[in-house]
Amino acid sequence: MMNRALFVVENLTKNFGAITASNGLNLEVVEGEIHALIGPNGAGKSTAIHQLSGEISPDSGRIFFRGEEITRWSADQRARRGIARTYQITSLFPALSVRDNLAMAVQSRDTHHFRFWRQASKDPALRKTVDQLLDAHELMDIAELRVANLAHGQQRQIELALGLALNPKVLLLDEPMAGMSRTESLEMAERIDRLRGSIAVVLVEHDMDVVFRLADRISVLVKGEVICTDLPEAVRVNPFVRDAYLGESV
Amino acid sequence: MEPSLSRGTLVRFAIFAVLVVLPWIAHAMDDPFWITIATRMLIYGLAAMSLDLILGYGAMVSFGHAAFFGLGAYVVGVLTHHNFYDEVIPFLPIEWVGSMSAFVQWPLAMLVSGFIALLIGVLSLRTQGVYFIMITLAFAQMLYFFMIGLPDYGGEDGLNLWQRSEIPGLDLSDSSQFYYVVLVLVSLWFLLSRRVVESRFGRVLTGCRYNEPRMRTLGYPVVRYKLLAFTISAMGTGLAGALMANQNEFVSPSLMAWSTSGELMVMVILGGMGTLIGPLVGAFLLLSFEEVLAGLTEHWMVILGPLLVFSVLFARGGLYRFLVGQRDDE
Repeated sequence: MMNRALFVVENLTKNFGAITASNGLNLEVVEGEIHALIGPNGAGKSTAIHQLSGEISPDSGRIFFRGEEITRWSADQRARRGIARTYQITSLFPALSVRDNLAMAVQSRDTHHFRFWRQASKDPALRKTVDQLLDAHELMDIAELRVANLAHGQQRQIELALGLALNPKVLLLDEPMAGMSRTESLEMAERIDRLRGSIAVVLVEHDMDVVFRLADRISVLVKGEVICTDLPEAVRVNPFVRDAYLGESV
Repeated sequence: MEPSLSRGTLVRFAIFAVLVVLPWIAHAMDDPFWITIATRMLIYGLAAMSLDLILGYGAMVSFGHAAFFGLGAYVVGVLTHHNFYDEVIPFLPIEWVGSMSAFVQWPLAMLVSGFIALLIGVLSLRTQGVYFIMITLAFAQMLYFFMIGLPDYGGEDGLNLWQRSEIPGLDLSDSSQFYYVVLVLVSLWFLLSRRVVESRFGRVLTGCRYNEPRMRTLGYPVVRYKLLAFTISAMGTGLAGALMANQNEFVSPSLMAWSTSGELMVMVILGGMGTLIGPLVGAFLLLSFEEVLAGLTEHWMVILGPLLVFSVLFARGGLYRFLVGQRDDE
C-alpha cells in the first residue's frame, strides 16, 4: 500500500443554525485504505461524508483531494474526478431496471459531450461494460428487473455497484449495511473487504464488529471533531474513545 | 414488452394514417373548414409535444411555454410586417427589411425562441418545483406585457400579416397545402424528439426526473443537461408559434398569455406525459372539446372542467397510454 494522502481535510466547520455538525474537523485518508468514521449519533459523520462528496459546502476549512483543493467544487465535478458515494437511504432509479441503473453510472464515465442521436439502449460499448459489471456484482440474473421490485438487500447491493461503476478513486460508504440481515451484512462486508488496496474507502457504519474487522484505520468523531485516528486495536483501548463513545458497548 | 410495443406502433400508424387522409375526407364531405381546425390542432400538438420533452421526460414543469409560442409567432409577424411595408427593421444592427421566405422565418423563429429560453433557463433552472413553475410564469408574463407595450407591432390589438410565409413551388395560402407542410414538420419533430429521448442525452433527462441528487453524485452536470433540454423544447414551441402566425395570419400578445401555457400543459397531461405522441392526441382532444362544447353553450368551460377531471381520474397516465395499454410508470 502506498502511503499517499488522497483526502486531506483541514479544520472543516459546518453549522446548521445553532447545531454544530462539524467543528474543526481534521482528517486524512490515504490511498487504498479502508478508513472508518465512527462516533455516537449526531457526531456529524453523515455531514462529513456530505462535505467530502460536495453535497454540502462547509462554512470554513479546506478539503484537498490528490493534492488539489476541492473545497468549492460541485458534487458532479468531484464525482467526475473519482469521488463516488453511496447513501444510507437507498438512492437509485426505482422505475428502471438493474441494467439501466448501472448504465446510468457507466454512461457518466464518458466525457459529457451531449449525444442526441444514437439510441443508448443499442450502444454496444455501453452494453458490454454494463454486462461486465452485472457479472462482477452477481446481478446478471436480475438484470432486467425493475429496482423497485427488488428486496432491500438486493437494492443495497446495487447501491454499492452504482458507486463502483464510476471507477472511483475513493468510495464514500454511508452505512452500507443499513437495514440488512446478518447474512446480507456479512456478504456486504466481504464485498467491501475485496476493495482493499484497489481504491480507498471511507466507511460510516454502526455495526462495530464490521468496522473493527474491515477498517485499516479508524477515526473517532465526537461533536463534529475527530478526537483520534488510529489502528483499530489502538482505538479499542484508547481511554478517551472508551470514555466518549465506546464505554457502554465494548 | 413486445405486445404493447407493437400495439403502440399500430396506434401511431393509425393516427398518422388518419392525419394523412384527413384533407381528402374533408373535401369529400364538402367541409374544408375541418382542414383549418385540424391544422390548428396539429400546431398546438407540436407545441405540446415540445413541452412534453421537458415536462414528461425531465420533470421540468414550465408554466411559461406560451412565451416561446408567442415569440415564434412574433418573429414571423415582425419579418412579414417589415417586408410588406418595405421598412428596415429598426432594432437590428444591420439594414434588413425582413423576409417572406419560410426558410428564413421559421428557423429564425426557432433560434430566437431557443436563445430567449437559454437566458430564461439559466436563471430559472437553479430553482425547482413550485419555484420553477412561478419563475417561468413570471418570465412569460414579462414578455406578454412587453409585447402589449409595443405599439409599433400593434400592442394589445396585435398585428395583421396579410399573407403567409413563402415556400418556392408551394402555395401556403391553400389550406390543404399548408396542412401538409405542418403535418410534415410535426412528423419530423416527433421523429427527432424520439431520437433525443432514446439517446444518452434522453437517459440523463430520465435520470433527473427520477432522482436528480443521485445524478449529481454520479457526475452529471445536471443543470447543463436541463438547460439544453429546455432550449430544444422552446425551439419546437417557437416553430409551432411561427406556424400559428401563418395559420391565423395574425399575431397578438394573447398567444403569450398564461392561459395558453396552461392549455399546453393540459394537452400534455390529458394525452400522456412522457409519450411525445400523447400530447398531440391531447391537443386534438382538448381543442375538439372546446369546439364542440362552445357550439352548445357559451358556458362551455363549466362542462370542460369536470370532463378534464374525469379523464385524468380514469385515464391516468393519459389517453395515449390508455390506447396502447401501457402503465403510467413505463
